[in-house]
Amino acid sequence: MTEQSVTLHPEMALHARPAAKFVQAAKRFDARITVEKDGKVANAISPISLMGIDAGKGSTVIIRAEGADEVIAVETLMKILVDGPG
Amino acid sequence: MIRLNGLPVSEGIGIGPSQSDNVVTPAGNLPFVLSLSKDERAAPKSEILSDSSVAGFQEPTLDASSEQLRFDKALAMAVEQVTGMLNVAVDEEQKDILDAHLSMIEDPELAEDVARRISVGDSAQTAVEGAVEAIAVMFESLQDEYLRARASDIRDIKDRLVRNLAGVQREIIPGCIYIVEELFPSTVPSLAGVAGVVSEKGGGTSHAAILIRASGIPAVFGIENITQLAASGTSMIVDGFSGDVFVDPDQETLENYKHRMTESTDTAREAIMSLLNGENLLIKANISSVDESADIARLGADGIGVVRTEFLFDGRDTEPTEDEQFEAYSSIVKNAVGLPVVIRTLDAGSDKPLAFVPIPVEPNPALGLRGLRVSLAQPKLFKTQLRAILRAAQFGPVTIMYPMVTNPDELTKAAALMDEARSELQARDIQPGKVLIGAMIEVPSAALRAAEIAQLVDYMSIGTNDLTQYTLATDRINNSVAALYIETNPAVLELIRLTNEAGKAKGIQVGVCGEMASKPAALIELIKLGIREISVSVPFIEKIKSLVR
Repeated sequence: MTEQSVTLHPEMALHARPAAKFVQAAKRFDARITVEKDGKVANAISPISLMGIDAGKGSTVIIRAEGADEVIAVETLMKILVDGPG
Repeated sequence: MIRLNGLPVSEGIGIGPSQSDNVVTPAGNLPFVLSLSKDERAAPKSEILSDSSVAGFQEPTLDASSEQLRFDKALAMAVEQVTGMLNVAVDEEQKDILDAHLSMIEDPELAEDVARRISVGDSAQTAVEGAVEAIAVMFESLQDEYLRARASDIRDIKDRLVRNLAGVQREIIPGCIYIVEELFPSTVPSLAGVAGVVSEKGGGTSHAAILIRASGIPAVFGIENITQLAASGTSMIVDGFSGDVFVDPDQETLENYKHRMTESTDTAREAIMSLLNGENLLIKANISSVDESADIARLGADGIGVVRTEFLFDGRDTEPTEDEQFEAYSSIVKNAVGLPVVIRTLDAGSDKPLAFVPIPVEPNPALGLRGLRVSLAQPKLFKTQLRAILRAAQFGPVTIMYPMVTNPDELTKAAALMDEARSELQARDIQPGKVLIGAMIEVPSAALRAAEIAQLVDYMSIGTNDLTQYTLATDRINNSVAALYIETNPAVLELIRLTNEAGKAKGIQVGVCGEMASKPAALIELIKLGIREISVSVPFIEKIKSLVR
């Protein structure tokens, strides 16, 4: 398993549109991926559960992935959160 | 007359008879469909009425597998409905919101929870209501204010699924004032043609508010009990400037508002007519599907200014074949019955990834690999599209237009690939149709070098949405800077002027596509600059035509 703690870009939050984009990216990987914040764990391919962990602007989350492409998955998804909205 | 005041959400004045939303009641209660028509009330189309406990009060025995099947169908229908809206959405923000909405409908955890509830004996409707309501309540408990407001987006999904299960769709009458307890985001695309919207709940930053503003329909939110105060068919006025809502207005108020409405239209028409001074303004259509091309001739459009070919590519695992594309393009060209058709080649980017086009995740998609840049990087994909268009061009006048041109040399590269595409067709004994070549001018560098570009093409189309965004360095869907996004900013107007002058000097046609052209005040500015061709989305054609003749 690969895991990485990430602090979201100050303008980035897991809101509806960013969550949809995050899910789109997560679906490209085979690994099972979760995102955790303050003990709440979301399935990375479920936009509703991602919004449900209440990750507002600049909050810190942990991305975990398990599967063949876990390293690249965590790296790619982390970048989305750190870089923030385009 | 009752005068009420709420939150003005979308500017404009609407006058018309009220239409109350028909409601699908929660499962378990006596199912009853409230709607406008008496016939429907007598014989509701609802399936739940026929199989429910109205007659006998005994719990119907539910077969879990058939309930699951009903849910699966309702879900597939919802996906299809929202995908359909996405395909015809023109506004980027509208697309983004619908995209997010679609991704929530397709959420695997929602489907799992519904399936679990059905497996323990719930009906499909009860299961959907239970699962979605649990999520909505969870959202309302969140700290983040924005996320709390998404409870409405979640209930939107419930509304859609329950309607699909019951077979009761919204029927919205054009010209009415649509009154509803809560306006859901995904209802907005079906509101085309209504005179105004009044809702009881909802804030100015809700997705529904953003979408209704983009649609240009006057709207006021936060009018408590409006669905009770105004029975369907009551005369109403919605003032989206002040937030005033009048139920059953007196003659004087009505006359006042009618006067204000005609005055603003008349002023715009007078200004446009005097600027044109007898010259013609060509009004073409922007389309994003084959279906939309069917109405072009009937609406009196002067042609199709942009075919957004992304509709053939989005949401697929494999690229569309040459024949498949040829079918679509030739249908469009035939539907245009001899009117000119401008087909824009694929405008993809990393913000809208395609499974078969490898574009890496980019920190800044607006400045990344997109538009013509993608096509030049993917010559095989590009030439397939070019061949399909060249074949369709035998059915009518076609211009092939490239999006996101930045430098003239890109057009030289595209021309070389075009030659290859022609030869490839000839090698198959297919005679390519004659086409004109067009360039989208939507990057400031292209506008500044429009004179050079005009040497290489037969047509230029100014894409004002991106041109404004790039010139002013403003992402209009970023709330913190959206106020800077002004299409009539002198810098943007100057680039439009330069482009138009360059086209004129070379003797080629220059058009403007982009939302700017469908706003009367901005259109006046374009006509002042000498623009004589615009292309607007289909719903705006009649409105704009009424301003120029």
